[in-house]
Amino acid sequence: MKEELKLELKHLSISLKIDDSFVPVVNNINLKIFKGKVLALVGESGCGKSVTAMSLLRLLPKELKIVQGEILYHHDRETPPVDIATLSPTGREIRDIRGNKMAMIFQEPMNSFSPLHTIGNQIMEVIRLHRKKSKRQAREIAVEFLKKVGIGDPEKAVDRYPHTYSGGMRQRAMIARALCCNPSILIADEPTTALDVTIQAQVLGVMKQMQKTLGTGIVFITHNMGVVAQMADDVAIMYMGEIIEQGSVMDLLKNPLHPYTKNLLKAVPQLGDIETRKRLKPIKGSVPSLFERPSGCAFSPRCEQMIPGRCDQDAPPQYQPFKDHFVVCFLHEKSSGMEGR
Amino acid sequence: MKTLIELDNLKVHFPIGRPRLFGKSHKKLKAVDGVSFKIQKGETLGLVGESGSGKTTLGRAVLRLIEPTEGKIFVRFNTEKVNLTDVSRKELRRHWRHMQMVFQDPYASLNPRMTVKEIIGESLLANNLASGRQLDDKVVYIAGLCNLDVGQLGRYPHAFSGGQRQRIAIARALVMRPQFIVADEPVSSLDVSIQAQILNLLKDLQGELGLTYLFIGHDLSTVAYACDRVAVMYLGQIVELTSTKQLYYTPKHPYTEALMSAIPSLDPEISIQNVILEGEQPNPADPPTGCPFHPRCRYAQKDRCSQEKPLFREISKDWFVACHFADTLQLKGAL
Repeated sequence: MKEELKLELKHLSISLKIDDSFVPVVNNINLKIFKGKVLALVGESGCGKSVTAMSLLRLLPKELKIVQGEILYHHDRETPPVDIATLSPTGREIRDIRGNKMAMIFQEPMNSFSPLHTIGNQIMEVIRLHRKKSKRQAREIAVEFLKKVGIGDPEKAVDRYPHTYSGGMRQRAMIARALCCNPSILIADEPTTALDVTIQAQVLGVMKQMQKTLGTGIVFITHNMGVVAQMADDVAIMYMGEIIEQGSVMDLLKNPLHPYTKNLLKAVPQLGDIETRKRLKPIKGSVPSLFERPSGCAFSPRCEQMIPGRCDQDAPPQYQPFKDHFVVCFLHEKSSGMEGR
Repeated sequence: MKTLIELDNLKVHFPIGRPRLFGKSHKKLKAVDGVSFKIQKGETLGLVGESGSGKTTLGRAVLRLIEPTEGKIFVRFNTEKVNLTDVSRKELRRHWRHMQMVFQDPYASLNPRMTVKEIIGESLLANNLASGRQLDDKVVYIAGLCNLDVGQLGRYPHAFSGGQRQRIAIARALVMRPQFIVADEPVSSLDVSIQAQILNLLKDLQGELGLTYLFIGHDLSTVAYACDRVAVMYLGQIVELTSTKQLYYTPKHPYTEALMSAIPSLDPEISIQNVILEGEQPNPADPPTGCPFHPRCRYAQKDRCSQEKPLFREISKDWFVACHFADTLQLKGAL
């Protein structure tokens, strides 16, 4: 069976509005999210990955505007898709999708629950809002989902307040809240960054299991390559608001094409290096500010393979040297057919 | 090799709960509960554990930034061996010249109202070690060593990125020419590409200046890269301590095994085979009896582990484990 497309980003651009000028934050990105698949969005802070995630649910603050492109949500195979980018951010249609068809997990488990309401009430609120259920039914569903994410003694835990939960428990409760309406898309913005490795492993396990049993499509935002390797089916690498490389997790990690991806993989310590004591290779410099975007390829000032007169002048197009493996870099010009942008 | 720091049964207990009508509070949170180890001159000792295990408290107690409740801290910066817990506050300041700290969050640890030059030079001024021209020279030299742009020292911290700020924090620690540095998660709040820069800098400085580090971290791959030996902490106690290689590849404590199995591999073909830890870390205010890890340990034997606290013992040369069954268990390491 062909994979079922659930969400499609076409030429999406988002800009920061300052007075009357626009500074691009996300630039012309294209992504596809399929049912039951995990797409990892990888990049350093400030690369636009969280902004992209927020835009999918129209949660962007006023200053950030979608200036171009479409966010197509497919309810099912038959009906034509809805363009989320054109909906009113407070309208009925988006509220029907947000939290119901598409749900989000935030990075900070400590700040994502209201301290004034029990965990159970906060999960039941979502259920009651989107599904016609009585209070008692909603409570049963809440207990069921808390149990699914591995919270011990869910019957009691449902009535407890967030401060009695540890970080890992809150993060799992947040997953329960996000999944209680069986959304077809889950957007997870660095869901394990604030957690310890052991708890991270638990949370990743829960997400993986949900993806398998419920067929949820996941957009997984992270900067941890190890987590990417374990979770993702497809990976998109972002740098300064652009997707610079995209492919399956195997292709991308085993055969990275873009110099930035290669550097990123070399900059993280690997356990295999304990004996060899190989020196880490940091990427020189740091990510430029959005206001000082370099001309040509945005990575060129930090790139060791930069071609003077070329990379610092022209923006490279997208090449496809291998099937389903895209890269935005002049170094791959010869080895591939070009695909227009 | 020379022993630079030696901890002997170090304890840090915090009183919690309401005090009784007459007398002090009886409940205690044992953040650090009987830690003993030695740090050799020139090595990097890693300290890993989950949040709440007492890593940071231990790191601070070694410098007496938090007063230990019990136990001894021996330091040997010159020829004589000094018990740091015996010295007066005033004398302690003298010893602090040799031991400094780098904090986790460079966005919180630098005073926004001081220029970088003032931040780096402050401790020299406070200790009357330099002034005027000499002070400037020292600050510029150390800043250069930490790869900071010397022309920018007159600026305030807000003008610098996270990686640069952490360099400033490292320069501030180094300006006193310490022998020993406690680095409390020095790279956790930085981006991956910047982490590598800071880790390399710490290594280079160690080579040039002969520094000794206590490196606290929770990212196991980073700790493996940075450290010669690693200690694993659980609920205020060290459960295993040995060379990085032995600890990661052939752990002897079940908790170390569980930690190692949780590291996500960079190779997508190797899927994580979790030794799932059941439940959460127990409340440190109410630790389990016997071995602190026994409620979550899959090898625990009912009577013994819940009753008898295992000793932190040397099972082979330089390999310390606190587990009754360390000699017989066959545990899996990280790949």
